[in-house]
Amino acid sequence: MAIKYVYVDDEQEDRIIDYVRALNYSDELDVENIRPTEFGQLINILLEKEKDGVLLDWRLDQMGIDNVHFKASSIAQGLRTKYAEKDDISVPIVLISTDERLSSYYNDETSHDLFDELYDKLKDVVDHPDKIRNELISLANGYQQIKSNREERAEFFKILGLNENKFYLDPKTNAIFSTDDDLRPTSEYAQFILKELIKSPGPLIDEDYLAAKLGVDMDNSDDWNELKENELVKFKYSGPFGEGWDRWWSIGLENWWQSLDKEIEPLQLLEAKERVDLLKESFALQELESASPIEEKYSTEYWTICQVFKSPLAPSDGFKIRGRENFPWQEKLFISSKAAREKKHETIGFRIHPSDKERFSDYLKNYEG
Amino acid sequence: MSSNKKENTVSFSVDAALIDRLGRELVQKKETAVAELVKNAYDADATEVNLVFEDTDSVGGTLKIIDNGHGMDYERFVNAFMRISSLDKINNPKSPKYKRQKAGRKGIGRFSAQRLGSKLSLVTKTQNVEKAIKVNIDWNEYQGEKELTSIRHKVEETSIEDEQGTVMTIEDLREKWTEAQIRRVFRYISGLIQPYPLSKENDKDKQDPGFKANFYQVVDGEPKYVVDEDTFIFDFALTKVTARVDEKGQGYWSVKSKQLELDETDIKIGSDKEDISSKFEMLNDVNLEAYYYIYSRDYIPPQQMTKIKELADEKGGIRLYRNGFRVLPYAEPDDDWLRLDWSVRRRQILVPHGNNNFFGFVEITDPEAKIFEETSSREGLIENDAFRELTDFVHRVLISAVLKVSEIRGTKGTSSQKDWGNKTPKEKLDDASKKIQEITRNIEKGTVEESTNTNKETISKLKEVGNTIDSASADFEKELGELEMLRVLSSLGLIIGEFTHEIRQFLGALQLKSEHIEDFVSNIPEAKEFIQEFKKQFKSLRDYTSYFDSNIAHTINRELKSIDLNVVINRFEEVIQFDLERMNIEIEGIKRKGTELNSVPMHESEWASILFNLYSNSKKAIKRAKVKGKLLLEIGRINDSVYLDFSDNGDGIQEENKEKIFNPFFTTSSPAGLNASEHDDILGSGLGLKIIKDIVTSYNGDIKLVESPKNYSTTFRVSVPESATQDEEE
Repeated sequence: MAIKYVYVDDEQEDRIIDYVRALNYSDELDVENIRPTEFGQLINILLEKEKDGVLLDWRLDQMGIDNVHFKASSIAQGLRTKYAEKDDISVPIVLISTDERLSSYYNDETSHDLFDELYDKLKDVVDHPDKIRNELISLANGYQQIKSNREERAEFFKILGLNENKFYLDPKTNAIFSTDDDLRPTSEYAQFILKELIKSPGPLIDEDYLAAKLGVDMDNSDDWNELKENELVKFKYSGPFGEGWDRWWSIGLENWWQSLDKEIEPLQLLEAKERVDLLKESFALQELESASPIEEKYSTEYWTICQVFKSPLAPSDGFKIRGRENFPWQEKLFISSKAAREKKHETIGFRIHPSDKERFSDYLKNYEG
Repeated sequence: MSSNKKENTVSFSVDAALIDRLGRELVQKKETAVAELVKNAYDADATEVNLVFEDTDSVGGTLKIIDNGHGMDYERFVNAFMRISSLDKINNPKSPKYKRQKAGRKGIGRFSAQRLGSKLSLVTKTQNVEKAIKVNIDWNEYQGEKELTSIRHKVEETSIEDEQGTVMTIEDLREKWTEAQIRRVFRYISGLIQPYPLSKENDKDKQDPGFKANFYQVVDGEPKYVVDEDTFIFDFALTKVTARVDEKGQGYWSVKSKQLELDETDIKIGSDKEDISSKFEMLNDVNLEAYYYIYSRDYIPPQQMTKIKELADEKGGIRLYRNGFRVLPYAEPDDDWLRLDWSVRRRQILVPHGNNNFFGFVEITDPEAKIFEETSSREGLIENDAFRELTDFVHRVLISAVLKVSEIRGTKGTSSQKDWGNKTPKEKLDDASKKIQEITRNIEKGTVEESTNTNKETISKLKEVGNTIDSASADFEKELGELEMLRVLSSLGLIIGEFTHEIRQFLGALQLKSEHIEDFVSNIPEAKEFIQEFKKQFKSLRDYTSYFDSNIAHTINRELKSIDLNVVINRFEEVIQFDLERMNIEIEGIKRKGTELNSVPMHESEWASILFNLYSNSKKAIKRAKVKGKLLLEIGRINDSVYLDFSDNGDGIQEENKEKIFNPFFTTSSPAGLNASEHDDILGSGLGLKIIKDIVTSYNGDIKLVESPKNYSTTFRVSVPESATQDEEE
């Protein structure tokens, strides 16, 4: 059965019909568009409709509809309150907007926990409709997955799809969602998974990190997909939202590497070319290229990526930037020294981490074109 | 009939002295009298009237008034000229041929002649008779105690060369005439005349070819030109603009102004505004002559201003002559064929350039009427390509000239402000205020009353204060002009912001639609190809929108902060990438000669504006040079400043322009034609470098031209003081 979303937008139908059509493109997703009405009435409609998720346009009050003087955050708040009373009706709430400054609203603390995801109509829905459909479906399915596991009081690692590999996850993390006390609402599980695990590198890493840690230049390696599908899949994340967001367990990666050969050196101590040579040798794959460094003199003992250039980086060639630092097991984010001295990070809103500031100013003093 | 016999009916009789009384009382000023005679010539459908003042430096001279009007036949002469209080003018308020609104006052002509001199000889001939009639009148005969009708004049027939017309010779003038007095007559009749060439006559149309008056003075047998409409009205023109398109289709324009010491000849202008050598396709042998007026006391004495302005309101504009014939309705009072008034209303260009700022005409030669065709209703020319090219050419020449004038005025200032050096308006006003206080103090002390000398001194001081205030006010006016332009530009910016925001909604929908269509037509190869093209073009549109988007996003930050030039460059690179692609321009390199190149605290948008203005100048220069565009950027520090070098490989800046480029309104682009977009217009406004200069000088920085690196032609260096530390953002 198709996943169903109810989509509230105050725009005239002819201005959003194409977005709805694009989201409805496959049989797996069914999006129904409604226009906002008076607050209480709208909340009731949204609660009564049979659905797996809610899509809200950020500004519902732009078209001057009678009695509609609220933004998406108020509706989300209203729904969350109802879900807190009755968790089994809880569904993902997704923000969608044409406003370029959306992310700044999103980062506003008050609406932070209200939405599971946010999309830009143009840059997301129009440019990557397949990806967005996939993610919406995954959000709805993830909620169901969490809900059913939660009702059975399953341990958090189990919800994440781990069993014998539960050590992939820090035990303290498992304890956050203790089954002894009152259970936390489904949306808290969902948002923890999405925001602390999936979207922050740490126990889970995305493909850029995965390739960086393996020293592979993905774009120039025809056999990368084969490696991914046959081997790396062994430690791929399969918990909630895993269909929408491809992630791998980082401890899984290190274990897998060590399992290739008893004598093998840890990835971190090898140069990219050595890592790739070992991969080629172990799996008889010829079309794998090691990734070149951002600047020639950089080390290729990659362990992270430059957040500006999205290229592999050895932490010693970069500087830490401020990021989500909610948990010690989350990886620090880095930018390359090139990006830092050219101030590329500032253009996209990153700041050097206070603990690296001195190192950065020393670097600038010693830097000669 | 005998007078001593009583009859049973009586009538009024009129004493001959009446003529003298009427003449003197109806026409008090001699200038009015001459003007009335000229008006009579105008009313007689003359196209030209010549006035010759002979030996008039003392009483007793002679005045000849020669016109080529319709003249009078015997009957008319008797019933109109010789009949006092005839109804002719009332019955015929319009002239017979050109339907001119009659200008002369009712029946005043002959009295004017009487008022001026004691003898009148009148020779007049109409077109259809062989001989002219000639009458001599000695006004001295009209003395008291004679019956008016008893004085009789002999009418003779005589042969003259001219086909038609009237010659009045007034002898024994009662007063002498100075040149100033003769000029004054001209002013009285200036409403009738036009500063244009006479149109050829076209019998079919009965179109008024115009009216000219020439004034001569004969001294010792030598005729001397005193005044004609050219010398009268054109004396006060600020600038004369001429332009032509030669037989090859190349356009040239020239601009001359005594007052501004401006004389530039044969500046090329092309049909493409970016290419001065591009030929006009349809035009050849086109000539334009126009006089440009700015109604300011700096250029036109107040006593002439109203007159000229009135004349310009009625007869100003650029007339169109084809093969010597004037074509209507161009430059008639409500016509704006060159869209000058339209342009004024649009307020893109703030210097005066409405129809009433010009007297001029453009001549086209098209003997067979093949290029410029007349509409069937004969109300003008068909708006074909040739006509459009013509209007575009004339419009652009006029705007170029106006901008040139504005540029020169900007540098030189007006005559009243010449002595003020570099004082700001505020300093000038402060000076004035101080002087007024001083004077007030003196008055309070009572010193003013003591002697006339002090009084004179006070008056001269007050005059000085007046001048100071005038000068400051002129400065303010100039600055307001610039401010106005900036206001226009900024409101345009807001509109663009609104527009790009709105368009985002549609962009997404459109792109998605094109994808749906692609799905539907996937089996039809032609349609598929078509939709691919559509998608590609659509992508450019979207890229371009995001160019505006990010531009605006970066421009809204209003706080002052120190910015690393590295960041400035990054932003710029990001924002223009789509435009670079579209324009096929490449940033060949960014040389970052240093880190932490922090400027003094500035508005972020100011840097954006500096770079855009440099960039749009470069784009124009590259377009003109017709090369594959390249840009080179360099940032670094020098002494206590940080600098940014912006180089392009465009057509470079000519030596003689290097001084002028920072003046407001200086531009090397010819103005956008009538069909140009708003965008073109603003790019060509010539404010770009001036804006940069204003920004950087306000931070004690500088912009100048420096030597270009190899393979580059122009390099601007913008420098501002370095800030010790970059502001920390928390």
